[in-house]
Amino acid sequence: MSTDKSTKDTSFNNLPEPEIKPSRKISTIWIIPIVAALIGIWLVFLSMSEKGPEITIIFETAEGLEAGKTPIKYKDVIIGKIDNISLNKEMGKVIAHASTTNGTEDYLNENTRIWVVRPRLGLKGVSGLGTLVSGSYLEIDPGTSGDFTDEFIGLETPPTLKTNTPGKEFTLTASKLGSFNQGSPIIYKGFEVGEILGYALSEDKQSVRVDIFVHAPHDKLVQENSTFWNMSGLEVTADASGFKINTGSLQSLLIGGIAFETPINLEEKEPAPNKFGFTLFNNKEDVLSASYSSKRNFILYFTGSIRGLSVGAPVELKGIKIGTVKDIKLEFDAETLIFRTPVLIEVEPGRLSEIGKRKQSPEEIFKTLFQKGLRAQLKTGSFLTGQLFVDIGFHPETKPVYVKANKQYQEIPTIPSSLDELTTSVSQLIEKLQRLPLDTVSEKLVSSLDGLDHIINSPEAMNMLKTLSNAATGIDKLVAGMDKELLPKAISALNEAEQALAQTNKVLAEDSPLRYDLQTTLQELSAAARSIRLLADYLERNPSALLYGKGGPGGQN
Amino acid sequence: MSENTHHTSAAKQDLSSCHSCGRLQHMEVQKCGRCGGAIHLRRANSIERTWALLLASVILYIPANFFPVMTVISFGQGAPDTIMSGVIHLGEAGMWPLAGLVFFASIMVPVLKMIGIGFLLISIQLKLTWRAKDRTKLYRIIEMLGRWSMVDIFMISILVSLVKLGAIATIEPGAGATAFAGVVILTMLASMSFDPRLIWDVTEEK
Repeated sequence: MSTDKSTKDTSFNNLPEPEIKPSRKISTIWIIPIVAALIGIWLVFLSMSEKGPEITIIFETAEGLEAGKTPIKYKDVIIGKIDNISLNKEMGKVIAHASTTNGTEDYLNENTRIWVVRPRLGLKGVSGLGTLVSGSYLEIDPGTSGDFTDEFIGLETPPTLKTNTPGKEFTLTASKLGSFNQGSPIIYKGFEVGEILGYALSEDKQSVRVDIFVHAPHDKLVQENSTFWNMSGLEVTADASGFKINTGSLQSLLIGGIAFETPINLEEKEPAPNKFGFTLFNNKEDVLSASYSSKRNFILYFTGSIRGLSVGAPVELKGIKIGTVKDIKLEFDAETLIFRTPVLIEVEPGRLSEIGKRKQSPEEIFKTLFQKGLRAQLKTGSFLTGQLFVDIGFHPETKPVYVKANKQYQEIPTIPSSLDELTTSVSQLIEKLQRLPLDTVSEKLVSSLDGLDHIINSPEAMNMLKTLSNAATGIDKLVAGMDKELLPKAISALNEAEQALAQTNKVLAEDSPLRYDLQTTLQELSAAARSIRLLADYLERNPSALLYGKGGPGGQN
Repeated sequence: MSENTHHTSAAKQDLSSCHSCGRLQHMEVQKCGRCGGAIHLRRANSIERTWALLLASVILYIPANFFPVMTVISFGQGAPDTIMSGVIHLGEAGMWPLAGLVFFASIMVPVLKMIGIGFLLISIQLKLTWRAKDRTKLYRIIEMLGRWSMVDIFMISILVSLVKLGAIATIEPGAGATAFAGVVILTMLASMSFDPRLIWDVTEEK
């Protein structure tokens, strides 16, 4: 070994000394793992910063949901993913845990709604068809505002309306639910301008509340005097002019719909505010006949039979319909053992145009009106069908009678119907007639007739008749005698009277001397009277003339 | 084969081979007389370099598995897949051979490589003489298999560029793919920078 080295040394002796660089403590190669670590840290940081809050969503069923796959989307942007799905035994529900991306906090609040988008086939159309191939996904609709939350209850059906959709919501009150459904269209002059959000029974369970949404800009068309009616399905009317079939669009025929109209008014009305309430009518005819929104209920107690009165019968005042009959019942008062028939009527005060200023509260007004004789009465609308209607009229001659069995509604005093009155008087008459002692009367009649018969047939009567006949003969003879003796004398007397009259006539004729004499005498008499008057006048002025004569000292002339 | 200790080696005769052309020359020569390449008895800083590259690849292996390597979106449906979830999906789809291949190339090979290189490095640093020949064999296997891990990366890059069918199907590469490519490259570099002769240096010293 040493020899080898020496030879080596000798052979390379003349070579320059090698530069010996001190070896660096840390090789530059370590930059690579550092860079790798930095990249790793950066990636982790990126993924951490992309992570949003973890949320849990409760569903009825996990149909279509897949852990680790089903995305959560908002406006088709993926904002999260379901990580795992677990069952909750206590609630019997499915709990989906999901992770969301960064910045999703803003969309997750108390009002956020989450639902599963699945393919849906409805009469209104097909939705979520894309999910047939792509699989279901969760869609969120962030609420308007609210506190952040990470627990949600998933909706089973997608909401028809998303937050921030421009437009307005309205509430309709219907007497019954038509054939429409959630998502059914709202139609204005044939245009679909909105949709039905949902419906529920009202709190008093007497009507149906329907929530609708009208999209902007058509929401301006809804004004406070707008009228809504159900245009579901097919309407067939048969009348004198023939058959009439009314339908909306084919869609509304299938799934129903609600139409509305805003009557043209003199005054420009403001669009109705959000969540304004309207009445939903059964059909357009109802709207035309009753475009009055305010209602007032009254209760009537009729004493007689109300056969022929049906729900929906008109309530008329002076022959003008002001309302309808809403309900008819038969009540039994267990306390007083009285049967009553309360009739609930609905009056639309809007049908009366009010003039003048009110000085009293409505209740006081009604009280005064009742005192003035406002009464309800059943009247026959048609003698053919016997249908009755309620007539409100003034009968000041009657006293108001209140039953006061219902505290909920104001009572209008009633009077019996005219037919009732008639029946009553007839029955009273019959009763009186019945009370007559007809038997005894007839007995007495018979006996008196018997007596009469007896009298007539008695021999006295016969004698009387004979005497009567004799008397008549006597009178006859007397008259005949008078004829023979009296007549010639009477004729001669008359002749004499005639002659006397003629004589008188002659004396009184115009050219008769008696008449002339009489005339002159009368003229003389009138002249004498004038002289006396003159004398009297003169004496009045000159009384002294009596003593001194005319032209004396007292006299003026 | 019997023990090699009694055989003489080039290093004992102060000879060193050129890294590039393999010509044996005297150790004192700094540059290859034939090709001009630098002459080293052993690869410079082999162990340190290998350790550094191995560590880097191990670090990158975490995001490579944690992040999705690609997202296949067909008919709007699709979720990002990591390497392992891809294997599982392939298996679920019944494509067992393919799943096996991907599992082998993308999971087993890199892990084996990293463990193997790490094992070799540790064994050298601990100056173990245990089954030196088998360890050399292991190194050869590592060298040979290393490139096959790139199959995944190639597949992804080809699919991403080919499958651009819009709504029907789209494949997007993920961050994991980049990291995985880094892992493969770094392990290959690590195995390259590893000098298997170091295994024998220890046995010869003894």
